[in-house]
Amino acid sequence: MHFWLYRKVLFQKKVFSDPATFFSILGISLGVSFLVVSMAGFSGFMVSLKSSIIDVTGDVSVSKRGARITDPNDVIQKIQDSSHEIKDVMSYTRKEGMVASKGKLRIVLLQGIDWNNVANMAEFKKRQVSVVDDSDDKIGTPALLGKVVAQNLELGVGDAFKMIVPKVSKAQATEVDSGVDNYYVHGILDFGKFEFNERVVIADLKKVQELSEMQGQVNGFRVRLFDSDRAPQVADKIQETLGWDYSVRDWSMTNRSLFKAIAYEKRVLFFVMLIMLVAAFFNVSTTLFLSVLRRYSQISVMRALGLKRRDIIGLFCMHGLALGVIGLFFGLITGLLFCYGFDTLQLVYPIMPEEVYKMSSFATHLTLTDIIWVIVATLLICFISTLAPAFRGSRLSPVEGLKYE
Amino acid sequence: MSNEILATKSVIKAYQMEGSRLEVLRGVDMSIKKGEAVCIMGSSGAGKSTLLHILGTLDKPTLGKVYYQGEDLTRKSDDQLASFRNKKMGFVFQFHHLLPELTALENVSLPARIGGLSKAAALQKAADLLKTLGLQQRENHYPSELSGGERQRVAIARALVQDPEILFADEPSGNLDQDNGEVIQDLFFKLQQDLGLTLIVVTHDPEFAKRFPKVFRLKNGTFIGQ
Repeated sequence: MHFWLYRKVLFQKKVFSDPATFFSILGISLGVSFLVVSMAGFSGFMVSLKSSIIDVTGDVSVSKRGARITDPNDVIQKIQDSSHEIKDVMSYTRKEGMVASKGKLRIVLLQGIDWNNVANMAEFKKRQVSVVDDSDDKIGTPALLGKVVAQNLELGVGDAFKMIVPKVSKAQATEVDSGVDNYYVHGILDFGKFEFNERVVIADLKKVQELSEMQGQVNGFRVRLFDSDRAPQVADKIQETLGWDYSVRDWSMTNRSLFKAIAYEKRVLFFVMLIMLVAAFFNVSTTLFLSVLRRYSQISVMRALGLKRRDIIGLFCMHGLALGVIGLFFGLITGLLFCYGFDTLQLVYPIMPEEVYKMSSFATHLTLTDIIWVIVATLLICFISTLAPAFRGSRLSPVEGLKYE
Repeated sequence: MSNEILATKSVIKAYQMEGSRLEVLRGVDMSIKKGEAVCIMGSSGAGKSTLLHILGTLDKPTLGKVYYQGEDLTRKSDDQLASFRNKKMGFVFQFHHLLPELTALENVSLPARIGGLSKAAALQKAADLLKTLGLQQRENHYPSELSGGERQRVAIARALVQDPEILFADEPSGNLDQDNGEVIQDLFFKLQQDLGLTLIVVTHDPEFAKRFPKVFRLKNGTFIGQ
């Protein structure tokens, strides 16, 4: 490969001054940036969805089949002993209930968790949308509300409300009583997923147990791991330890079909965007064909001086790849800027209909794998697009180009 | 043993032009000895440049053979011929055909670097040749900064940098004024004698042709005499 010859002869320092070259690079840059944005968008959607699921259900969720757990501390110990990858285990209770406030009623899912550990479990700081009320002058039980629950009931931080849960009557087993307690809004959270935001209310485990008359019993455990991606393996270990009386589900099992669908759509969009990039690379082919024609006499001279056909192919492939690499570089930067713009714009104008996508917003997320795919695909298409003009250049008769100045 | 360096046998070159066949060379036989200075002469369209290109392996005959020291060159592949040209042949064209992006020194070193010589050695060799041809002050000038005569001398230096056995020139003074043309013509004969080159020149200039000991006259694709 005569790289020096390529650098001296074909690659001009003022590469952007040639309109054909400029538009080739512009086309590649736009194609690459759209590819980056689409990949980052899908990855971001998946990451946000995963994060919102994990923040509410934990990396791994453990419950007892058909029964409440009466000895939570023993089970927590067993879970913790099952794997060293476990960061935290937390008991929870879950009870269908109703929130009553200002003459309105809403059915909610009341979750009781260890109040001292709530910030750690629910990524409190990241998800809070209203300032948390830490004052001591409130009467009742503090609770965290999903933002849609709060909106529907017109509740703000510090507002009081009644929490009502159904319970089986002690006197008459066929009748249902209700337990009522005074609660107040300690904070409002955006769980990142519409169905959580419109249903979930979090309160202290003991208070919920008291209200539901569960006497120290829990519905299950949420397990947080150091690495969420290891959840299926850790779930298997926990299942092995606890046996089949317990149901152990990792986060990927919840909404598995949705995750599969998103991953599939991501792949489809990758190829759709790739077709766009192929169109952009027709510009590269055209530029190289023009370059071959413009440099006919130079190619002829170099062939006369001993340059082989494969060297000519190499020179034009290098030129095409150089255009591809420059386009790729600017495309990656433009793509990242588009992502940044998208993330910033979402903070100002919510562009996702929450009812449709079950998420109000998501941050774009570009993985190293996505970047590698974009680079490999771009360079591969670029290389293929250079072949036709490069072979054309190598097959020119040296004689014709030498006839004229 | 014969000291024949280049020979042709029944060389025919024909082109298909809009359905009809145009024969530019019609069975050319010639033999050139090592160290000879040979002129191929003829009017425009006689086929002399085509013959030079075939002798220089830049083009292939439609029929017939071209031999270098008895070896059939028409059997070689394009890439084998490229290496062969790089090592054994030098070319000077009517138009200098220097690469505009390269300086005079880089242009002269080009065949040596294509041939695999290191950058430093190729540039040193090119600098020595430019000095021999009186162009040492022009080493770092681009072709656009040189006069017509200087460009042609740089082209001659480029043709000599690989120490070729055969030097081909196609109307080397055809694009120059009379004074510069004569300087270039003198230079060819001097180099041929000093370096023992085989010189094959195509021209339609009878004055230039007179200076050659051996002249092939070409008319309508065949030799009409020496």
